[in-house]
Amino acid sequence: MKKSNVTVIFILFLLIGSAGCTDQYRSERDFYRATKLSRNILINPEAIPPREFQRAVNAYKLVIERYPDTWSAKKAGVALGSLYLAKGAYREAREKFEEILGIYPADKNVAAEAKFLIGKSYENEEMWDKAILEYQELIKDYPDTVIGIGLPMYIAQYYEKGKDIIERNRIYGDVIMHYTEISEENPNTEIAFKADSFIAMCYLKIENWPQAVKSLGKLAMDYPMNENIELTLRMVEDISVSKLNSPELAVEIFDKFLKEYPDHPLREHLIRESNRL
Amino acid sequence: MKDTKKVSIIGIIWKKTSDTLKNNPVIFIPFCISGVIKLFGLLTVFLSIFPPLSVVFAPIIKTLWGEAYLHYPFNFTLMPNLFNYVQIAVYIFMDGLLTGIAVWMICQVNEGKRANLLISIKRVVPKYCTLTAFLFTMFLIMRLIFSVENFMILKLLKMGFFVSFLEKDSLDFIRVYFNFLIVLIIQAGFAFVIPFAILENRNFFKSISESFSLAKRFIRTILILIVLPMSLSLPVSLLETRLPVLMDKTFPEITFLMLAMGVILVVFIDYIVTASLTALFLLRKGLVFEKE
Repeated sequence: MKKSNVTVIFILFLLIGSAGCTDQYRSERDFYRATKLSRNILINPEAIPPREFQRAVNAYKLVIERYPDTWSAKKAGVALGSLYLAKGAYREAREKFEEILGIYPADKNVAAEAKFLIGKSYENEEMWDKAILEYQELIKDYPDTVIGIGLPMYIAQYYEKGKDIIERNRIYGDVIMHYTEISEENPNTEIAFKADSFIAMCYLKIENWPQAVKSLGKLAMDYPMNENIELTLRMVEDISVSKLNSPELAVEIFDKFLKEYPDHPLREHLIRESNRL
Repeated sequence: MKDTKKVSIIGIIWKKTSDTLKNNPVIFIPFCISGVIKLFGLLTVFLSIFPPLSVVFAPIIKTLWGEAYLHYPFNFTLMPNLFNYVQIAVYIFMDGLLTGIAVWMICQVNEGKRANLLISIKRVVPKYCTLTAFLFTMFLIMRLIFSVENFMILKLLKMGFFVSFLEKDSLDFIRVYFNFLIVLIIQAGFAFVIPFAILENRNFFKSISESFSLAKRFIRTILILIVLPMSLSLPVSLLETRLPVLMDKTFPEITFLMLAMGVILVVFIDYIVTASLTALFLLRKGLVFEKE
């Protein structure tokens, strides 16, 4: 092969190779590198020397400055605040999160995460009264985000510590009402599915088994193809048999499910379980 | 009285192989072409997530594997899988023809003629379908064996076998060696299909049956001629089972480098194996040799 042909092919390789990378890709690459630098800090922040901490901070700042409009920059902003949070520098952490809220107010998920971490920083400083204010604002402003939808449950779990049964039932009762409202306002949506899942979780938490079975059954009927359907139906069976001693409850739900969805992939399994019960 | 000189066949074949390349570097070109096509394929796999290729490939990757693999560093996690498909396509549709061209050129050199690439291409192209069929058959056989192997391993895992191997992450390593053995045996059986088809104008089935007959006669020699060069690829194959760990410990781009290195290594291995097996094929009638 002639030398000139080899040179042409080599140049072609280089041109093609360098032509591909977009800003988005480069931002992801730099964000990954920054994440690698910060990994040890998050595991054991006390043991990290200041120089290594600063390297991680600089790496995240680089992503934010170079690629401001990318998803990686948003994540880098949150990650930067999280670094300060891990290190116990709560004031600096909150400053970073406030900056994120100021720069990306339209990105609900990023804003919710930043708000949550502000609340977390107050929690870590044992200033629960300030933390709960942040959390309540988050629930009000970003109710349909992943964090927003899960936060009432998180708050309930905080409050239930050291409480008696009556108080726990009251706390989770309020949470159930909140999720019921969300589910009714957003029927047949991802939000409603999550809200219904949390309702079932609340009943399980307060060991209200009849309501737990009822809510799990409703979850299965309303969302038959969700990824956790098998687990949901298994829980219906387990609770009906072991907690309520009423396997006929599970059979009734399975029969209703199969009548509504005769071609469901779990059909054979449910028929087998119904017969066994 | 004529003395019958007993000579080492392996030594002769490797000497012929290296002399052939030294004196006729043009014979190396078909293997280089295969390597270049594979490297282009690897580059295409890397660029498949960027415009303009992403217009075609991104929806496919997203549907089959998920959105995450369109982003760094997960695109490198998926790269070996995608490149495997490229290699299979090149192997089936190009390597048969390219190996046939090389075999013809080696034969020409053996007869004292000059190896000419264009003449060799014209000679071999009419046999393209037969050559492709050989490699497709080999691929199917290997695929079948690997599928049975996967099925057996899953069954045995369910029964509790190999659990300690899984805990020690040794199962992947063992499979590399086992699969190497399988490829070795299949290659040995099919060692002479292309020489028979190109040099003695046999049809598809005759080439396979005569290749197996000839392979039985020279089985030890063939295994040595194949296993020694192919074992050069073992370290790369073993490292590829540890790519996720390697990516995490170093940098994700190492996947691309390792796959490219594998392609370059295979170019040399393919030449050595093809040239030495062709030399054995050409020498098979004329030499008294001692058993190694």
